[in-house]
Amino acid sequence: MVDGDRRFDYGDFADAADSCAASLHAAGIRRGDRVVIHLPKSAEECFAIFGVSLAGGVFVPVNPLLKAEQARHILEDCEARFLITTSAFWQAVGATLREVPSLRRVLLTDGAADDDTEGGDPRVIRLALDARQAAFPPSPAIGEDLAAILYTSGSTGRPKGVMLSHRNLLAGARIVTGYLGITADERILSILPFSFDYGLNQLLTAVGQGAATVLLTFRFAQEIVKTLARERITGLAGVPSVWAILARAERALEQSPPADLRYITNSGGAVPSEMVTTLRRLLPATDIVLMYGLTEAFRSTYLPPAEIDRRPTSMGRAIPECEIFLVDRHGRRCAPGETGTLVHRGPTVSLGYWRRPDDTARVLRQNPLIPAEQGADIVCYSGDLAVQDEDGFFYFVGRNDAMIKSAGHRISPTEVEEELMASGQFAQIAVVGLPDAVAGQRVHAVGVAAADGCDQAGALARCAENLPAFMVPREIELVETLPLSQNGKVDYKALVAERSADASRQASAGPPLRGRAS
Amino acid sequence: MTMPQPGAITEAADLDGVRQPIKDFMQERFPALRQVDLDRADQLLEGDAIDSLGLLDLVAFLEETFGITFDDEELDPENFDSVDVLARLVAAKQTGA
Repeated sequence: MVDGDRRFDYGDFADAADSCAASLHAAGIRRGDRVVIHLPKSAEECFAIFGVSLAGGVFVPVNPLLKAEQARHILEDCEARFLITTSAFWQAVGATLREVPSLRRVLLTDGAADDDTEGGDPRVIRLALDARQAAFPPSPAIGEDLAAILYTSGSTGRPKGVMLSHRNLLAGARIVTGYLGITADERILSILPFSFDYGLNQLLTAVGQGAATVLLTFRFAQEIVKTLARERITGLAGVPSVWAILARAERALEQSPPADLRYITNSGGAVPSEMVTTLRRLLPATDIVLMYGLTEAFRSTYLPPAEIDRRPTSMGRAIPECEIFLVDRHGRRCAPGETGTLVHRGPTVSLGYWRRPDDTARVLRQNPLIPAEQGADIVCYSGDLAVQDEDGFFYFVGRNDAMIKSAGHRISPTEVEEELMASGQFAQIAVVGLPDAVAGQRVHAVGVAAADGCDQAGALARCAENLPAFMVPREIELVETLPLSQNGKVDYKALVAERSADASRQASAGPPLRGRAS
Repeated sequence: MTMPQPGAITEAADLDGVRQPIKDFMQERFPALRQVDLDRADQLLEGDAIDSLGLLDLVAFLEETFGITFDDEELDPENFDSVDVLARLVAAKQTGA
């Protein structure tokens, strides 16, 4: 593993994970305890993920971009007993988080080693990652035990925790290792957060095969290009916005072509076909693998690179070991060309949402195509609409709810709406995703001003303070009234449709690619 | 009586003419920077106010507004540390162009 200037071999990795597990045991961890990990992308984050598993706990990785309130929601919702974080984050948000009733210990990866220097809170201790030959009892957990909870947003409310068993995670790693042909020679560049199932999968496949993982937090495409060449990266996973960024570094890619880059994979939203063409030109020797999935069932489909020129807009076919089919509203299998809800069955179907049986029942249902008494399994209803061609390839059509997907992030409109309403500037607000050339969708708010006036700039500043940047609306638009659907609720589809003519023009124009007239 | 150097006046005026649109754009595009005094703030990329997509927009804005093209090596976090550093780079590129 490469983290900046630091390099760790698998012996170092195992020692650090053991040390973390021993530290958690000393702090009183029990089988199934939730351990929230809020760390920047780092080797320590990887050690903690494995350390928690070794100790029989459930790891809950949190996107380091989340602010205090979102972190508190996750800690409270999963009833975390432990939090692993940095002293800087704890200093910034400890006041908000220390009131979480279930929290027993806060383990800091850096900073003060003893209790009384941490504001006198005896619950705050140092996480040991450097103990040699750390001893702890083996975990009694088996494959069916809960391994991780990944928080993700839907169309309403706060993020929900998707429960994954060890068997789910191992199946995901095995399946991806198979179709990408990952071996011990691989050098994988990891830029996606480990709180995202697809980012986490890269780590698990690398460790599973004994391959190298290079961690990178980037702001400019040039940083990616340099790392690709310097670290002789063979595989890179990204979301559509990453490719839009990378495409601007055309000259850097020409100057230092990533000679070892065997494949790139995309998930977290569709790549526009023009971008596929651009990537094919910029990376002529690299396979482009388009994937589709959702956290509730890990990955579902992938497009074999050999098909990309023939079907550049397809999301591909079922990944190995899984079956993907479309059903109509009556639960019948759709014919080719007919739009339906995408259903996933296979070993990566999750255990549902943590402590949300009603939400779970909506998403995890009995297989509609097999009678119960004939062994119907539990399948995952994605909430995504898709269509299949005569050859069995799937094409994404849209969501059947108001969930927003921007730069790979799932965003619940209500979470943003609550923050805007709390500003007191609006009588009514609705948040939608409008088409965007780079981010897929961009967050857009449509509001009715409060009776005593509306300070849009102030409301946006408040959002930026309390929400991560990817959730902050790019614009707040004021209207007289919001359109209502027949049942009297805000008509989100109409809000999007009314703006789509403009929006798609903007999307197709987009910011100009950096011209290189050479 | 000491007269300011003509070159110095032009340079200061140029720099202001560059600085203000940059500040305006950044505060419009990054609401988290609205409370920030951009004349003094540095380490702008250290916090989470500016994400990589926003940087893309910022670069596109600078190239269009000031008629410049950044070299790849110039797209370096150090050059985006503060509005002042960035404005100087933009002004220098304009003069050089």
